[in-house]
Amino acid sequence: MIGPDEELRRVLKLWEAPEPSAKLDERVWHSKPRRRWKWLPVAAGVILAVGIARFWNSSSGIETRIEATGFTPIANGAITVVKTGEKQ
Amino acid sequence: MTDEAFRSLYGQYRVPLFRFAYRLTGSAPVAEDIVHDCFVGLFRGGYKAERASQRTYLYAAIRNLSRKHHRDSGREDELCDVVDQVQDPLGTVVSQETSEEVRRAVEALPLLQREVLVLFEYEELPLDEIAKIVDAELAAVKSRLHRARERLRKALIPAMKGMTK
Repeated sequence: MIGPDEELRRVLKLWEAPEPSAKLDERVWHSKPRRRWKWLPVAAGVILAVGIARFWNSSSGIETRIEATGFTPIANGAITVVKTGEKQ
Repeated sequence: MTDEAFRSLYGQYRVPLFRFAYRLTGSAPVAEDIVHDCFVGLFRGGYKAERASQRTYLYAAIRNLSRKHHRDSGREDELCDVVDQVQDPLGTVVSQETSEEVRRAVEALPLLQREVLVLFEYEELPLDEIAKIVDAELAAVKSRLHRARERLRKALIPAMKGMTK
């Protein structure tokens, strides 16, 4: 003896859904973000560090000089405050 | 989510989710679009473990995307589950294809009844999980399921008689 729910269930199961196509798998995998992007910030950091290091090495060969020939310091240098519009 | 975890989840749910989407929309290409969008949402971080299980999340996503499809295609009136006029998609003519009769009868259900019926009868999910998926009270889910079964019984009486012969 089959109950009304069981009877209905058996009839419903006659409607079978198709299988998804292989194209779906391709689409999903194509849309999935590639893991290589995960390493992009790391790669950018390495490139930046290498660039800074090279710049540092190349700039360390430059010598900064101050030419002081002929420089004479002012003797008894006094500071005079002149107000705007005042005649000197 | 690691590649391995994603592959495992996709392998486990691609067919049931496709079946669910297909039975809600009645179209294999649309169902594939919906399953695709569901998994795109998953790997973009849509899933929050503290809210629901992965299965509940995935079925709820398929259900929401199917409803969006209905809205976009102007079939939102199918959503209503209050109107309970018994449509007889078969009329008095008994179709030769019982499977086709069932498909038409299920598709004639309002969407709110159809989604509950499909989840319970085809996907065999427990009622409390269905309530979470469709974001409704358990009592509402039971009521929708009852109304859906009543409508289907009336619509499929010829087919059911054929089964019991």
